[in-house]
Formats: sequence, C-alpha cells, structure tokens
Amino acid sequence: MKELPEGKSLGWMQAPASWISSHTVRFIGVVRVVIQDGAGFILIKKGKPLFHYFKQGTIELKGHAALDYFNSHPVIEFNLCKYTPDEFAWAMKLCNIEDHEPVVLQEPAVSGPVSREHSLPSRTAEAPVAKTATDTRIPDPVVVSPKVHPVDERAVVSGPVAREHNPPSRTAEAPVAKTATDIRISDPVMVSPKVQIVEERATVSGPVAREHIPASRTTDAPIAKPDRDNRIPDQVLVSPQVPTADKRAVEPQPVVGDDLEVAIFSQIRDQDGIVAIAVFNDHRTVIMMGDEDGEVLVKIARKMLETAKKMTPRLKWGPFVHMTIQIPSGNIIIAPYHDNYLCLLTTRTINIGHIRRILRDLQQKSAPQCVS
Amino acid sequence: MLKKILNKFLILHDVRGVIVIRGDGSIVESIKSGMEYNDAFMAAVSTLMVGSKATVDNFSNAPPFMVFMEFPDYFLLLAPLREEFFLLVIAQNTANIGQINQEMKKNREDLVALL
Repeated sequence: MKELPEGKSLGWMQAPASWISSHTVRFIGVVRVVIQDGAGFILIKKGKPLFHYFKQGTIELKGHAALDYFNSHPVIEFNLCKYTPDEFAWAMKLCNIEDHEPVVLQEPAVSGPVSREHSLPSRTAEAPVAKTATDTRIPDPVVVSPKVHPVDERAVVSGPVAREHNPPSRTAEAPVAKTATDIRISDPVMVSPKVQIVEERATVSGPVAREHIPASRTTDAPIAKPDRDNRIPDQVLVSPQVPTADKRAVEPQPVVGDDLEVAIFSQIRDQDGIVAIAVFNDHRTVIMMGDEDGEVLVKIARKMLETAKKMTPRLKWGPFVHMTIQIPSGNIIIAPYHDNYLCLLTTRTINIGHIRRILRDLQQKSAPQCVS
Repeated sequence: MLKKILNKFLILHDVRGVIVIRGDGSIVESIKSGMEYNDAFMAAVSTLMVGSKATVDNFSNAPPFMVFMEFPDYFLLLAPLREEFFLLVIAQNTANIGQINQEMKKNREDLVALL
C-alpha cells in the first residue's frame, strides 16, 4: 500500500476500534493503527470510515477484513492525523476511493478546486480535488488491482492499491488466515454493537489480545490498553455482525471522548509547555495524548488523586478543583473532568496561574457537553 | 522567632494560615487567622504531605517538589524549605499567589536557619 499523506498528528490514543468512528464526527483524516508488529489505518471523513487497511508481515487486510481485525481487539492503539482537503483528496486517490462531496475546510491556503493531473493511464475518472498551487508532489505509480472488493466501503471504484512487499523478518507473527478477498460479509443486521456474538463466519486469525470484553461492558467506552500479548494467538472468531460505521454513528454517544474533546485537547497540547494530556479514572486511561509514557504518567496521577480523595472529606471545603505537583523538570496537574480526571504534564515554563487558566478554559469549552 | 517570620505570610491579603511541617506530616509550628486547625484539618495536612512525598518518590531521584491544591474557596501551597521541612500556606482563592511565592523566596533562608 502506498504511503498516505502524513497529516497533522492529534496524538496517540488507546480505545476500542468502535470508538473511532463514533467519535470522529467532525474529523477528516487518517487514523493510524498499530497492533503488535503490524500497522494500518482507517481513512475517515466526518465519522465515516472510507477505507480500512492493516498489514503485518506479508499479510495485508483491507476493507472489512481489516475492520474485523481491529474490532477483534478490545483496545487498539492509534494516532489521529488530521488532513487538509488536499491531503485528504490525495489519500482518497491512493485508496482508489471516489468521493463526490469535496472536503471544504476553512483553510485560506487552498486556492480553489483544480483538477489534478495524474500520469497513470489506468486511472479512471477522478473527482475534482482541492489542491494548492504549491503542491508539486508527483504520485508514485501504483498498481491498481482489478479485483473488486466484495465488501463495498463507500464508493470504492476498484480494489485497493496493491503493492508487493515482503519483509522477511515479519513472517512469524503475521495474521495468517484470510485476506480481504476471502471474507464476504452478509447484509448488515441491526444488532447492538454492545453485544458481541461469535459465529462461525468471517474467521480471521491473527494476533489478538486475550482480554475479551465481557458482555456487560459497552464497547463504546474507551478503556485502558492491556499489556501486549506476544503469545502465539489462537484462532479467533469474529462476528460478522460487527456494526457498520453508519449504524454506530446513531448509537448514543458517551460524553467523554467526543471528537470535540479531542480537538480541545489537541489545542491544549499544542500550547507551549504542555507535554502530555491524559483523561483517566480509577480503572482505566480514557484518553492519552503526548509522547510521554502514558502508563507512568497516569500511575503518578492516580497517586495524586488518592491523596486528594483522602484530604477532601477532611477539609470540608467542597470538591477539590485541581492539584499540581511541581518538580524541577515540570508540573503534573490533576483536575476532575466530567466523570473522570484530567492529567496534564507540563514543562516548568508554565506557572500556577497559567495552569489555572488552562483548566478554566477547558471547563468552559467542554461545558456544553455536560448538558448532553 | 519562627512565628514572627510566619506572620509575614499571614499578613498577606487573604492568607488564612501558615504551617511549618515535616516530611512525615508532623507539625513544627503553625499560625492562623480566621480559621480553625481542628484534628480533621491537621489530618488532611499530614495526608497532603505524606501523599505528595509518596507521589514524588515515583520519580527516579525523589526531586524537591512543591504542591498546589485548589478548592472552591481555598488553596494550599506546600513548598520545600530544607530536606525534611516544608512550608504550607493556606489562603483564600482571592489571595495573590505571586506575592506568596515572593515572600517565600525572601524569607526562605531565615526560615531554614531556624529549623
């Protein structure tokens, strides 16, 4: 598969695959997924997954096969990368997807839609895409597979781009059974995504985390990433009743983890001095953004929270608003955030006043969500 | 003498209490204005001290640390003085943190000399 445009990283997170489509209603870009030694992506336009792809070793999964593989993990690690209209159009082209709704973002740098010339004669009609005049990148030649994908993921005009790539070192743990073309998924059945039914169809084997989601737990709620399991996996049956993205979009959404929050957190993280942001509770890490070791950060934050929780009833001053520990290398801040807790890791350039302002802004920006 | 220095903090706008505390949570000296230091409060202060220390012990070399904890109407500011000694300032949210910090810098040496 040809390399997609990089996009602007909004940060790494860990959540169930189902969380992605239901929390990216205003997101346009690519979600880069990493599962053990493999990597893949989901191309998303405003909550609608347009293309799923995963590769581990020599095995490539595309479309629903990749989606099923993502869904077979209770939690996956991914990076939201926002695209400009131009990048998105380019990514669509690389995935051989035609989109009749051009992406319009408020980006003055885009001069207007222009037709992109492509040198490949095999490429069929292309939708007009917005393109900046300065972009002179020339696409690498790609081989277009003549095989039509059996599961249509929104206007896929032909099979996804196939490219031979055989790294010798990655064969041992590769998902072995089926490729995308082997899997035919029956018409969508209206079932709740919260019920995981295992059937003897659409069998996908491969490395799968052993921690299965109990029936009572909702798959929508992001949960902490379990330890990676490097044991040789058993064959795992993946239900064909995994809901489509469109169906998930109408499911009730949890308050925390909305794409608005992701955008707000991204804005905060982009500020000078902010190193990492996490949303956590007693049991799990809900959101993690930043390059720091999230588990260590949240462990420290939980320790702080424990202290705050012990103190609060004794002081009788009401709920604690925030707690900051300053050490020479930076600040760690915790504050209640909806039903969870927010943790910020900052450099020492940020003082208490600045921290209070950030937290106040955050509460104000996310306040409308409390109502929902 | 220690009380005299602590009083320099207490006279700052909306500062309600100042305590010199050891790392194990025991109180060395304290003064207050317009608030009660009851058992529950002292227990909370000890919890803050011990809990913060335990948190910082997660870092490799247990660096010196400062803690700021905010409540709807009050905040607590815990700052290191010398190894096992800390200064805790209790103030209303309307107090000027910059001014408190400045006073800490000005009086730190004198406080440390008395410990």
